[in-house]
Amino acid sequence: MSEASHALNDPWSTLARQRAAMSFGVWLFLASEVLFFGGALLGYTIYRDLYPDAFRLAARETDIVYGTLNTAILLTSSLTMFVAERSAHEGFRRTSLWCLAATLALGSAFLVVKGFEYYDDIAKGLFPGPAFPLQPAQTQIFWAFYWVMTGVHAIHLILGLGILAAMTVLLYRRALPPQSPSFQGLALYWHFVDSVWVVLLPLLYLIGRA
Amino acid sequence: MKTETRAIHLWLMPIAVWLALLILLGLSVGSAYVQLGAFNTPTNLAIAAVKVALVLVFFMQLQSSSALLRLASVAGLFWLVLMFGLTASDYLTRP
Amino acid sequence: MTDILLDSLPPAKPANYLEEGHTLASWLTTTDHKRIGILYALSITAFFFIGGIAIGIVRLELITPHGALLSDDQYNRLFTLHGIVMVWFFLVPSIPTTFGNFLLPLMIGAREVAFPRLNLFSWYLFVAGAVFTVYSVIAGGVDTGWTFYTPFSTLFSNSHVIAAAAGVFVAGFSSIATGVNFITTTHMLRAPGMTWFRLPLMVWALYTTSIVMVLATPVLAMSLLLIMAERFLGVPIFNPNNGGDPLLFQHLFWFYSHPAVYIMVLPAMGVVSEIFTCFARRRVFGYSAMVYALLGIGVVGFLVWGHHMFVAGQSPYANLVFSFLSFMVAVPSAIKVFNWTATLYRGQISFEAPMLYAMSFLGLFTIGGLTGLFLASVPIDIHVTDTYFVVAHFHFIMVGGTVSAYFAGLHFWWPKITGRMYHESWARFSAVTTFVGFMVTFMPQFIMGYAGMPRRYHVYPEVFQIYHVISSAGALILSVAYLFPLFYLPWSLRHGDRVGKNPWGATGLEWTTPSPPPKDNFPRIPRVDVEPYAYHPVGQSADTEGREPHRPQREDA
Repeated sequence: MSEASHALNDPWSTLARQRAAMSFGVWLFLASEVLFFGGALLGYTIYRDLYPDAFRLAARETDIVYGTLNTAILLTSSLTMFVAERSAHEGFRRTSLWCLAATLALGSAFLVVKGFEYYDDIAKGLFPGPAFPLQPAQTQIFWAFYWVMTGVHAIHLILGLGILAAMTVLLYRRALPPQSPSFQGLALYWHFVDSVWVVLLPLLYLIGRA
Repeated sequence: MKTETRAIHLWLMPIAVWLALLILLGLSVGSAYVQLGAFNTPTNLAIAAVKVALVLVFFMQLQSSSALLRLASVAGLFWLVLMFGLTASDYLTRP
Repeated sequence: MTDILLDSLPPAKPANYLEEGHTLASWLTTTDHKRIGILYALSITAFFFIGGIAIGIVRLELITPHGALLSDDQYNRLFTLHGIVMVWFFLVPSIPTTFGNFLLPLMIGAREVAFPRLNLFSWYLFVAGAVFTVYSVIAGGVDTGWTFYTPFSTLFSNSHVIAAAAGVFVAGFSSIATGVNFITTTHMLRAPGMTWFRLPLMVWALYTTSIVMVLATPVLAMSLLLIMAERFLGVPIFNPNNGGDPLLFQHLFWFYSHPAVYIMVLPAMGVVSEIFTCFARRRVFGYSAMVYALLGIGVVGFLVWGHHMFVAGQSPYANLVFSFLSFMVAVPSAIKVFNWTATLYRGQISFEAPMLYAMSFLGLFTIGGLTGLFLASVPIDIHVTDTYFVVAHFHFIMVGGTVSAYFAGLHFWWPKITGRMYHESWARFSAVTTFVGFMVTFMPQFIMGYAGMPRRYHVYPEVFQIYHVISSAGALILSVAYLFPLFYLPWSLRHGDRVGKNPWGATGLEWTTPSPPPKDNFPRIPRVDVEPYAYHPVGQSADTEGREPHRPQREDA
């Protein structure tokens, strides 16, 4: 099939091998990402262990509605991304395009919701600094980690959206064959970004509620 | 070009997983409001772990992946455990 | 008539990878791993000299005990520059991105790395990181030391911390990309018959290094991101006023930076394994042990980082744990030193420049490693921490070790990379001068460090001046020794003897290709059926007569 052979790159002799290499390479990259976020998680864990009451107090100020909504959005985007990748793999170009577009829309929706949430957080003065409303001083550490971890996550999402948009356009224009292993790479990355959020939810939104 | 309606079979498994994930989301948010004392945190983390496992196994297709990929997928986590563990040897033993 | 005949001939195929395009664009858009290796080599050479000039000025300053040339602030910025540039823009990339890129596909019988475009992108990431760092220098420098310790770096330093940290952050992703590429290449592109235990030790070393790069570098990235966030956004993370713990930064920083020194030394170990076997005409002693030792160093190297923080406020219990593990990590390194020695024993040793540099490595790495054991002992470390003893220890390993191995590899593979042989006498002179210069520079530092001379100080008690003068004299010798190859190596490109496929009579698939190799490395992917280092029959001693490998690798599939 000429479309499939169009997907084959040097130095690979078969598409199956190239696909296996793409998966393996992306998983290795994701291992590094686990340690990247893990560094921040270590800091969070140490401080939460040192100042449990301050963290509980500080975490109560996060907006659980935004947080839960965003989790649901991202989980749904993983659904559409999964189907996008599988349908591309099996050659269902139109289904894939619709699902990629849906993933793009859901990922963008996440960012919009996050934007509103950040706006509200700042309006409540929850950015560490002289006007910070909470006491004791260790509550600022929680909020420092909130901004850093959600910010880094958002940057990962934006980069993912960029690559997703580019690949959707290329697929639409038939410049990228649907059998390309790139879709598998993108999907793995996307699910990982979703998984990071799934872990951030209990750490940032679900403590101190009871 | 394939008949696109035949793509329906691709949706069944992921929708089932997605529903499970949403239920677990509801469970973790709901349980956060229940007074479980020291068990709130482990409960939420355990639910998050189950969700991540579902994403890993089903969405990221680890169930049908080679041993090499499965090894790569846990490598990061294993190293994280080492990092947390040895750092804890400092913080947990500080006077 | 002759013109028509000549015109009807097909255009000549480029003879080798250097002939494939002569424009700058052909180099800057290449996906050929060999060209990318050269791009990296040029970049790190530039940084080696930038870092070297910085420390040259420092060593000049240290000749007198009263701070004659530089202010405190200027001094701090210079040694910081030296550390940042040498660690991240020379040592960490050095062997993997130059020889690793050039040789890995050749050594495993592949045409390319797994992800050629990612490879080129990794070089651009390196250059982007370099731009940030160079900017920070031009803008006035950074004065925190290469270790960026908090809260000085986050709250008090009035220097360009964010720019410097950003440069290292970006360069780190270049490391990760290289690591991912090499691991995938080694797993998935080995030629038929090239089983894991037929791989040259250089490949095993690059593979282990790549695992360390992938798993350690992201933690550095996060530690730098956190200090950039604290400085730029004003969010308290390591600020003691808010309950922040400066030691947490050190945990995160050293979780990477200790494995980083293994990123620097493991490839060097790979290089010298190739050279000892070739120039002693001997199979390596204990191939399996060498492989497991590499992997052991790579893994256990992740578990020792707390030995950098024995006096920083870490709990005594953690000190014990990290001290014990630091003693453990010396074991696989020692096994390798024994095995190299045993490889040389009963060999037919010849002293070409690569061998001289490799022997330099062996002796200097051993001294550096032994002094590491002193540092692993908590009571001794308490005495010598932040003194020149530590400085001498790590320079013995990184300069005596890695830089010697880099030059060893440079000379060994120069004929393969360029098709020309360098001038042997000048190279031998450089190797010997390097060794002498190194010893004169760094041996006194052990003594004055133990006697109490602190590091990072330019004003010091006069009793230490004699050691500093000797050390600076050594630095002068060393700088001449490092400048020499900068002349005779380019000279060889025009005037050196052209070489055939295997001027050294070495084993390994890279020596079955023309020198320089063609773009696609092998006309047909080879089929491997020999064990590595087959310099003589098993159970016999090295060949006294011939310089041919006993069972050479078949060149045709």
